[in-house]
Amino acid sequence: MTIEWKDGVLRCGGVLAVDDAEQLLQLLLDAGADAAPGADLAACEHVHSACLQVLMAARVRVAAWPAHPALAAWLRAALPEQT
Amino acid sequence: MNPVLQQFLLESRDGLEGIAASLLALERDPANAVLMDELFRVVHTLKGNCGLFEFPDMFRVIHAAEDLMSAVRDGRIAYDRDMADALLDAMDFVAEQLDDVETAGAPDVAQAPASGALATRLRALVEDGTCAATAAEVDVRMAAALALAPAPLRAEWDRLAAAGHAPLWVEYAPESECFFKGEDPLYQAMQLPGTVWQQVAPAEAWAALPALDAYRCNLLFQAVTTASRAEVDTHFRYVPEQVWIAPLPAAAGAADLAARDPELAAEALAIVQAQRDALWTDADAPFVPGRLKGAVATIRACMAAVGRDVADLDACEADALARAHAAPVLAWIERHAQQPAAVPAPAPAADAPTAELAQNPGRRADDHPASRVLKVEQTKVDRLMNLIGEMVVARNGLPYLAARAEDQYGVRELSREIKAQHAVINRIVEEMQDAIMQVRMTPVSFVFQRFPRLVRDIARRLGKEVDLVLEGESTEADKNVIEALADPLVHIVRNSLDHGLETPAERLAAGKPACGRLTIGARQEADRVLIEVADDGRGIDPARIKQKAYAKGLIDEAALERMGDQEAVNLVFLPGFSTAEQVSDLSGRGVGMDAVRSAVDKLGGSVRLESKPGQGTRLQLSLPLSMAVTSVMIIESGGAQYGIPMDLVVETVRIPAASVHAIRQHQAAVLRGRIVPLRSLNGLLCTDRPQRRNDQDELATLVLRIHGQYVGLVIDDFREVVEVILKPMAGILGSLAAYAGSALLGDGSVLMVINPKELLQ
Repeated sequence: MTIEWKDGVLRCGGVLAVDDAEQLLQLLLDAGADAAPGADLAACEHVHSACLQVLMAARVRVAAWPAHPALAAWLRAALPEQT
Repeated sequence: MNPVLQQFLLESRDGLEGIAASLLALERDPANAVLMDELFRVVHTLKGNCGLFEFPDMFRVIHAAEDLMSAVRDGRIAYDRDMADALLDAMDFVAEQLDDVETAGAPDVAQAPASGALATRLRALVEDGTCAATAAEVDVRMAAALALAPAPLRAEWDRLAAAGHAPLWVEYAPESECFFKGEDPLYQAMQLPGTVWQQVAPAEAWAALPALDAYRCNLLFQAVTTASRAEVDTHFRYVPEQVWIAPLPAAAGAADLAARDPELAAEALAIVQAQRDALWTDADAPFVPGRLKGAVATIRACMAAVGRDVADLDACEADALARAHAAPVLAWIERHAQQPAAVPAPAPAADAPTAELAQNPGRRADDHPASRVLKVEQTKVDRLMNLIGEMVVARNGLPYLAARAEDQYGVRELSREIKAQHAVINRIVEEMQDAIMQVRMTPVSFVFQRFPRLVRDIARRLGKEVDLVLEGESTEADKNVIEALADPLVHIVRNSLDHGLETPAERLAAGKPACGRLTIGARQEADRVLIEVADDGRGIDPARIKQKAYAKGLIDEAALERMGDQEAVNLVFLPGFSTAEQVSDLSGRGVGMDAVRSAVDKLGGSVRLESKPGQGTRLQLSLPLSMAVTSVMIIESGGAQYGIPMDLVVETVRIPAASVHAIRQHQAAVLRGRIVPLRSLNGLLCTDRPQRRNDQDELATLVLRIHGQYVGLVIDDFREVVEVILKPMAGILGSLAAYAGSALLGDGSVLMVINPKELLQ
């Protein structure tokens, strides 16, 4: 799992496990009042539901979707895309 | 078997017993909230424990039962007999599954349909009562759900339906604590087969980010799938209550698409999806630009045909070609072939979990004070008891040793010290014996607790009304005695219900209350425990019994004439006697009461039957409190020592040879005005030596009382009475019914203990 801010975009990779939800939430909180942070999920292999709902609650806009089609399809069904 | 599973089995069985008792109690007193709470708690714990293992069938049934109880507890539906039946059946099912787990290590998978049927039956009861899911409500919910889906997609679903796919609408609302159970609802949703559309929405509005609890699941998954209902059910088999599945109504989106050509649009969309699949399967293969170009051309044509915008497709294509990877085009297809999710609708059951939590603070059973009771496996106690038994034998050796010290070695001082030591050890051993007996003592409620259910079920089946009264449930006896008592008692109770008690109509005609009364009582009397089963039914007709016994050739004509009523009633204990005209599945298989008597005999007990025609029947079992230590009289006969159980010995007498009379080929003597038949032990054991007489020409005779009759057993001489640990005969010797067992004496010799009941038959 990797989660980091890079050029104002939250870059996530690997498997976002259930234990990572708290760290993810903390990172998003630290980012401050930015209304709609962007996220790059291209390198994500899986996103646990707990992480997903953190992303949803933070109104994250996704800049790049994961490669796995089913995961991408479900994440698209949950998160808005960055325009 | 791993210890956790073992503990689970142990606790679950305890739990099931408690549940059955509570269910029956509730049937009498449906309004009792305390009972209901207790019941709910036990079932909830059972469910929780069950969830630790891979027992989906068991879990499903328990869960459905819990839901039903929850509905009753919240007052949504009223508790009734059908509900009790369903719940009891559910608990039986769970018990069967536990048996399977114990014997085979895993529940029988063939039980899945039974489990499904039970769960459906339980759920049907909930729904019947609450009318929660009427067809109209399904329609309303469906309509609300459909409003979320964009029109083109609905058109596609119509096409799927038309092609015979019967798309299903699936709503999966994971419970808020699901993360703590190791569940990942998104993963679960992703694995759903045949998904053609999906959406994830918050179950209730998101809290502000700082207040967000990441580990409280607030997600609602919606999807349309072409998978079959069975596949979807299987997919969500562990969380059936969190899933709502309904078939999509036919022509869901037809109206919206009237202007366009729906089939064309759907087909175009399908072709675009097919391109995605084709490109995706190639994703790992070497990149072939031609294939990508072909796919893009197809997509462009399709989209143009249905009037869709393809503006950014060129850019994606260029990007893909530049990166030599199909990903940008795939992303484009995802974006356009599947419309982004619409505004999430407020979830219907949004605040249910919080409401439930508020109502039941601390619902878990964890906060109960720790019990001071140790649960020990019976084999461990048995081992301890065997060791104490050997201690008794070793102690019995000390007096012999003392005698030898004095007689053989002439050390009187040492002999006295050994005797003193013997007294000390004796006291400790006796206390140990007493203590282990206390451990093994089990209340008769262990056996009695099954009767409320048994009586209820049988009475319902027979169409009789019975009021069961249990008395003296706390009376205790040795575990072996109590356990061995179970089957005979069940038999007796069945007999009472089947033959003894009349139907309500018959009872009213006889001037009795319609509801019969069956009393099962236990009490202790000296060193025996008495069990009584009494009913107020029609009683036993002695004349009919006598006729029956005569017809079956069990008694001769002379006996028929002189037999008293009391004696006649006891004929039912004869082997092969059964009065039922029809063989029923309850009783009357012809193995009736003689099986009861032989079981009780085996325990060293006795049976007595009293009956008054028209008023009822009373059956009394008398059993020893404990079977561990047996008191036997050592006797001598034919140059060998034997033991005779003391509980049969009425008196020991020396009968002058002159007062023995021969009646035909039998011998008898008159003792205290009563004729007592005499049998010689040597004769019974088939040794041809005559019994030895003493100097006054007297015969040593043990008067025994067997099944209420006195018999004199002639032997050579009496010895002392000892307490022994009787070991049943094993192996080939086990078939020798004439011996009750063997015991080890203090000097190391083996004493054969005779079973006079068998020997004198």
